[in-house]
Amino acid sequence: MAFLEIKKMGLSFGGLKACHDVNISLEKGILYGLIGPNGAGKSTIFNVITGIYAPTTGDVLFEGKSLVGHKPFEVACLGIGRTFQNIRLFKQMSVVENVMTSFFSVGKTNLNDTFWRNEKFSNEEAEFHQKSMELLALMGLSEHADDLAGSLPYGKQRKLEIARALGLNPKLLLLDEPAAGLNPTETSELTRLIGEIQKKRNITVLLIEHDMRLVMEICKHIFVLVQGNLLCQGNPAQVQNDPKVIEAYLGVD
Amino acid sequence: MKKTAIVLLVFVILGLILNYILGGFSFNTLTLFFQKPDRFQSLLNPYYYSILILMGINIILSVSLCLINGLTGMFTMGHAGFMAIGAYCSASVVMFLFPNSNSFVQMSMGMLAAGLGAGFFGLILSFSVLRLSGDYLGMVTLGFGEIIRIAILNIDKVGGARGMTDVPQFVNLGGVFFWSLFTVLVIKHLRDSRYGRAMIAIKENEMAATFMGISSFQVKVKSFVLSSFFAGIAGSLFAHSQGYLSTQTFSFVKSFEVIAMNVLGGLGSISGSIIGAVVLTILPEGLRKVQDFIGVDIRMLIYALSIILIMILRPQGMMGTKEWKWLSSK
Repeated sequence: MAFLEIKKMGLSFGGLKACHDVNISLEKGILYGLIGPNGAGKSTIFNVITGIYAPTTGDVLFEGKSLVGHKPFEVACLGIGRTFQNIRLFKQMSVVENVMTSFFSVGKTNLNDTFWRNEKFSNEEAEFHQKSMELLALMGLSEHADDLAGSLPYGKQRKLEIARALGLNPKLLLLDEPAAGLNPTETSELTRLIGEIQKKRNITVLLIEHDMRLVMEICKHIFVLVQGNLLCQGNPAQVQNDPKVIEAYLGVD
Repeated sequence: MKKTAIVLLVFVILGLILNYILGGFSFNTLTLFFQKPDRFQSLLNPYYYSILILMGINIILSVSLCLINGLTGMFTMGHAGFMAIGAYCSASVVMFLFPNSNSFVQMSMGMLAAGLGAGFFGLILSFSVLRLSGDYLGMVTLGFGEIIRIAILNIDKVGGARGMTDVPQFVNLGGVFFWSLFTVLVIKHLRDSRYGRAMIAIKENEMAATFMGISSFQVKVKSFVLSSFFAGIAGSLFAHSQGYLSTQTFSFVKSFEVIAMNVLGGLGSISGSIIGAVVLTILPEGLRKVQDFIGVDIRMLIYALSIILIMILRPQGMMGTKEWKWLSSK
């Protein structure tokens, strides 16, 4: 059984079909890519998985259980972390606090502990802080821990978003254009980091990206989406040589 | 845990000292916090004494609104409604259920009723309206506050339009001082916990917060209920310090006054809420002196002008989002 399975999923907004009969199945511990021209429905698929939209037809199964009808925070608690195409950090909070928010759902302290500041509370806070600092170290953001998240340069904000999503200890990580707006140096560093994290933590990653060099370099398996339909899938070499993909991206004579 | 207990103890002692120095009490009673101040023996002029009490009540209101408005980022305009519920609950419980008990029993039962009553209404309101956000939430809560006021106005048992007279007075400065410090402590501790982070995250970006596994509805309800609980406590203190309740006091003007305190001090800053409450309590009263001096009735004009001036000179509020050292999270 597949780890995440999107079965014959269709989503329409009134007469507009954003997705049509999409079938995607992901295995555990593999880095997947999802590519396609603008407006193909890539982010829509993320939104369906994470519970923003309920699919009109079909089903989404995560570890055998349907995700349809779950609220976004429930999906997150099941172990699906995501980042956003347009960065959505908590800008007025410090960098380390941004990561610490992701531990909310595993917190055991209640309002009483919070008021009395007992041992349970301080242990939990210390644990969250330490885990967050580890994640920041992983993403190379340790020295910025106490800065405001909004004051970080763009590239580091992208990394912080990934660190924050990792705080959920996700089994599946959805990255929505992680390299958008980064310069080539930053992109190659991020590419290395994503590959490294995926291997080290053995999580499944599905990433949307327009930077083909990044996609072809780290993704083991690529899905191509065009106008809400899954055009083809396969390893990077197969996808690169598929005439249908070339047609969708470049057009034909 | 130890530290919190010590801080609480310090608050109690501070309150007792304050009562002893300013209230003209002697240390011969265990119910010192629940004793009507003997204003003729007080060191302070009764007028100043009552302003200080009002200031403490306003601090509780302002800091509790800071929890909803500043930390969780929900715009509500019905805080006076919760205060009204607290005031009338407390006064009714004391006058109808415990008319002959001693002031300790009266006060604890009154405050319990005030806090629980206001919290209960906060729970009902939040369950029904928290699907709204922004200006719509503001509208509904404004309406809620007015509904509460009109409803009380039509209950004859609590005086209706005549107001509720002869409410037992036993709130003194030490008690109010203790409660306002207690409110600040609770909300500060809440802010620096996982709940506080969740609240600020919801304010900053609700969508991202839900993807961090935060149930925004649950967190919002918590902050709403806790805030209305403290508004109820403030109402109870108000009732038992003034001795007279009229629904006029709890109109939406009061809600706006509390919002003004928040905005003036700096939205999202507890220190700012305290400063705002202090300034907006002293300003209208202090201007009475000015009015006596000039001889023209321009008190409210100056009051409004000074608020406008502060907002022009410091649009982010007096503190912005900064905190005093003893209230900061580090």
